Amino acid sequence: MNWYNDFGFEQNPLEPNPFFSDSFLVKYKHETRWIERSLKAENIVLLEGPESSGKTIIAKELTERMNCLYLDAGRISKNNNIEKLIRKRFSRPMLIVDNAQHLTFDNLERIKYFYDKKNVRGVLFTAEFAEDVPFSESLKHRIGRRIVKLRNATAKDAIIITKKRLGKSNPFSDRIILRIFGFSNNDLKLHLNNCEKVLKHLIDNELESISENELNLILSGHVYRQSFSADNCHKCEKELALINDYWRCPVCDTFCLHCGCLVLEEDEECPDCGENL
Amino acid sequence: MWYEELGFRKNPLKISPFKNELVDVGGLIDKLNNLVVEGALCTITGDYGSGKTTLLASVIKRFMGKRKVIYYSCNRKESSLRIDELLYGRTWFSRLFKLKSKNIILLLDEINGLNIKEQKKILFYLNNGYLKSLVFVAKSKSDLKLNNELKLLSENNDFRLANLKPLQAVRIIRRRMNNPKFISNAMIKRIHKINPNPRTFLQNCEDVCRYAIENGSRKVNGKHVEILKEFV
Repeated sequence: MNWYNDFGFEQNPLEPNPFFSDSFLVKYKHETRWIERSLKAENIVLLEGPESSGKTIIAKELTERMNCLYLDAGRISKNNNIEKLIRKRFSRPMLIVDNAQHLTFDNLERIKYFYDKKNVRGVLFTAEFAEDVPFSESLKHRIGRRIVKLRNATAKDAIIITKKRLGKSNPFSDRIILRIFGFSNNDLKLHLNNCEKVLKHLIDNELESISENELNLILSGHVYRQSFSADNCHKCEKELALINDYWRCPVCDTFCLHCGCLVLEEDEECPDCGENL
Repeated sequence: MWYEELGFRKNPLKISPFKNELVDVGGLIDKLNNLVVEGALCTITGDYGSGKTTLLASVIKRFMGKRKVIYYSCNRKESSLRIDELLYGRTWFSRLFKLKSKNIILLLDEINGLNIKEQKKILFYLNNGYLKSLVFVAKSKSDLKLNNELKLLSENNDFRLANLKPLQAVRIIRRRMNNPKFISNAMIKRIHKINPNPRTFLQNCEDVCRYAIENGSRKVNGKHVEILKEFV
């Protein structure tokens, strides 16, 4: 049983990889529609955008709307001849190549050949920087001006996306989400992972909400889990003590001696086990 | 889709070479086909998007399926052209026993310099009946770098594809989508003026038509053509 099952989710709602979960498009609806129409009109389109800006999730959305062949160029060997995937198909799919900067020049030319021969109807290339994709001049000419540029994820996006994904189970205030996003260097994928980290901490400690101080502690890894054995405190270098499933630094952490739960300095009673501190 | 509003099932302004007709510029298609049938060495040159591969496609369509045409694109970085390999054919049998086919029409696309050894082999195969005709396609004559003998053979069979003239542009659009109420000749000429390269012109027309329809207009006007200027 995973933590999200308890909330009624079948799959992890905070999973960053679009293909591993039931994720859905929150922003970029206009761009997706434009790309969908361009592919149906048998064009070649280039989708350019920084990391975590939403390229793969647009690709996933397109695979659900049309007959597509999706390929992540970062995951196939460069020696692979792409011809085997494209050639003998009775249906004429759309071709979507994610992370096209990892394609070789020759494979790109093969794609161009199959596009010309109409084995694929339309092609979508995705990349972080258009210059990094080794397009030949003639392939660039076919793309023309059909380049869609995505921007970095903003804090507002992070709030909307986190709230939409968690739905009713969202325990975070907008402010907390902003904090996590900032802590994650404005990287949406990292942000989702950190949200999951914090959420798991809340569940493990049966907390309803979280304060900003605790947030800092959790995100900067001062919570030592059972798996971190025999480590030293990274602030004062003293040996950690194992207290009831938690590893704590006797000098730097403030914790309940009885159950090991983290407490704030001003607390008089442990919120977990009720003992006087 | 914008073209569905105009009554088309598929995009009439597609740029793909293999299933489109080249607007017959001065009977080029017939001329090329006749030369190829008789046995000749031809060259096709022109900028990107000027119609070279489309012109080749007409040859392929004509002779396809009779095992007489070989189309090969030379745009590789990892491997180079080996005429022998091409002539061994496509069955494992002929490849195993190194049986070369005879009387082949060879179409070489996207040439960027042929090395001397291969050029000598081409001459040999031409003179000994393995190759009936050859068509070289390149961006410009300097890219071809043919040796003197091959140059001589191809002298009169040079097809140079250039940018469109305004009337040709109008003719292409009318052939593909004859909706004069939607897009007038004057508008077509305005779009053509922005860029006379055939493929870019078609792409620009598509962008304009799509923009016009998606904004609810029933006629292309100057405002729609203006959007092209944003990118130029």
